[in-house]
Amino acid sequence: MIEIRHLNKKYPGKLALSDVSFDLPRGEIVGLLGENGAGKTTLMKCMLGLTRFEGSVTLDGEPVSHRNIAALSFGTGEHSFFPGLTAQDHRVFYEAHFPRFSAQRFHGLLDFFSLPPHRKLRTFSMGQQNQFEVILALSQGADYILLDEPFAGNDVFNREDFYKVLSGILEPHETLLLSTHLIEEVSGILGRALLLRGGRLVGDLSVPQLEEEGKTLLEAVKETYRYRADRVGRALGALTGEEELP
Amino acid sequence: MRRHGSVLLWLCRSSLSPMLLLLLAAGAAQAGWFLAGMGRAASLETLLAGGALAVPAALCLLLLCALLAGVGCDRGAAKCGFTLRRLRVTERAVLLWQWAYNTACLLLLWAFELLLAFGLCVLFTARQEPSLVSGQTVFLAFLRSPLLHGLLPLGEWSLWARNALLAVTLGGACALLPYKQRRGRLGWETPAAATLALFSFPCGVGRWESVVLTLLLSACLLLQIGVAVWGREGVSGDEKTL
Repeated sequence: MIEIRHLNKKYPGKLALSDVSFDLPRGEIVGLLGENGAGKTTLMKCMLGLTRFEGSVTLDGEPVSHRNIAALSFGTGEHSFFPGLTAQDHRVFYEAHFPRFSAQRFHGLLDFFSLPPHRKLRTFSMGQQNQFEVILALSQGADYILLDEPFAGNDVFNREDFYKVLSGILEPHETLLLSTHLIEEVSGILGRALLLRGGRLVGDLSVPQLEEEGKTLLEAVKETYRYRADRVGRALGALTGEEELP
Repeated sequence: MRRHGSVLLWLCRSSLSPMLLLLLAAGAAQAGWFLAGMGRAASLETLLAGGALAVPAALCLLLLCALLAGVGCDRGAAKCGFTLRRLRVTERAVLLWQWAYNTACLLLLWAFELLLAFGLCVLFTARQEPSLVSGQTVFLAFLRSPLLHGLLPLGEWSLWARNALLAVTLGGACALLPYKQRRGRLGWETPAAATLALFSFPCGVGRWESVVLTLLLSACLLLQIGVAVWGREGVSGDEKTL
């Protein structure tokens, strides 16, 4: 289990994360939701030890270090692969560093996305690069897979198919932490949603529980963020000088 | 050992092909310039003084440094630092492998330039009137031309040591640049070491003061690189290393 306690992260002149605490047990698919700048990417970087922070992040009671980092994988829209290497080169490289790397999953997903195995990644389109980033994160053999806005630049058909594949391939011990804006699209595969706002954890929602209450995840998110449904009408009214639209 | 080998594989795959292309392009430019000037030059030394070998070699060195220092840098849409910090080898070990690899590449450039220069000089003597050249022509060229003497210092052991130190320093500087860049710091050691190598490499016979100065400056840069690598890591940057 990953335990995050009183996590604070400051950038010059800005508090990026404030007193964030939660647990991430094995075998869950968790959405990390929030507006731009809410702290989602920063939280993932803190979990991986890629940036300094105050507080604690432990993995099965141990701080994240070289000894246990292989249990966490990271797929990011910023891309962490080597652009001068091919997909096959990455497989060889990852197999050397991650003993539980799954070549079967790697090749299966490469086929699914129809990605060329022998072309350098710098020649891939942005959508293909995003797909490859996700493939690496899923094939590493990690218990905790952190995906940060992985589908930016991919069309909706690709995304829908991928959600189906994703929910089918994950093993019971694998945990997926998925940071995304596409709440409606991912709500079908999520079991839990963490809501960040202004660097604070403002909600920890259980999707099955919401369903029991007859609410959708999107409705619950809007409720938590106090979404003002009338703001569009008011804005248009102010912009056009006409009466407020209903 | 496999995990260390994979780091070398990454370095080779990222830069070996472009490096070989660069060497071929530089060799072609040098040979072309040399052959074009061969008919007009009064002697081998005047031909060499015209820059036929020196100018492309200098450009090749700068481009090679840029190529080597670019491997492992975080760029807009590719931040391989995220991966390098999650490996079973430390980021410092990656840097040390990159240092060794860069040094080997620079030694390869040295060997390539030496063989090319020697081959072109032999070609020059073969194409000249026998009365204008002697068995000593190539030997004298390597003694009198600062560039050729730098490439093959013959009995000057201080110059051999200087060349080796320059290769190690420049290799280290090129490995340090991406390491610092990933932490948002400036890798000033690379341009400094490249400038030092560029201006000090051509060296006439007995220029011991130049050799000593280069050795001292190289040693200072090497010390700076060592402090950056083994000193308090990541203190001024935002990134925490695992």
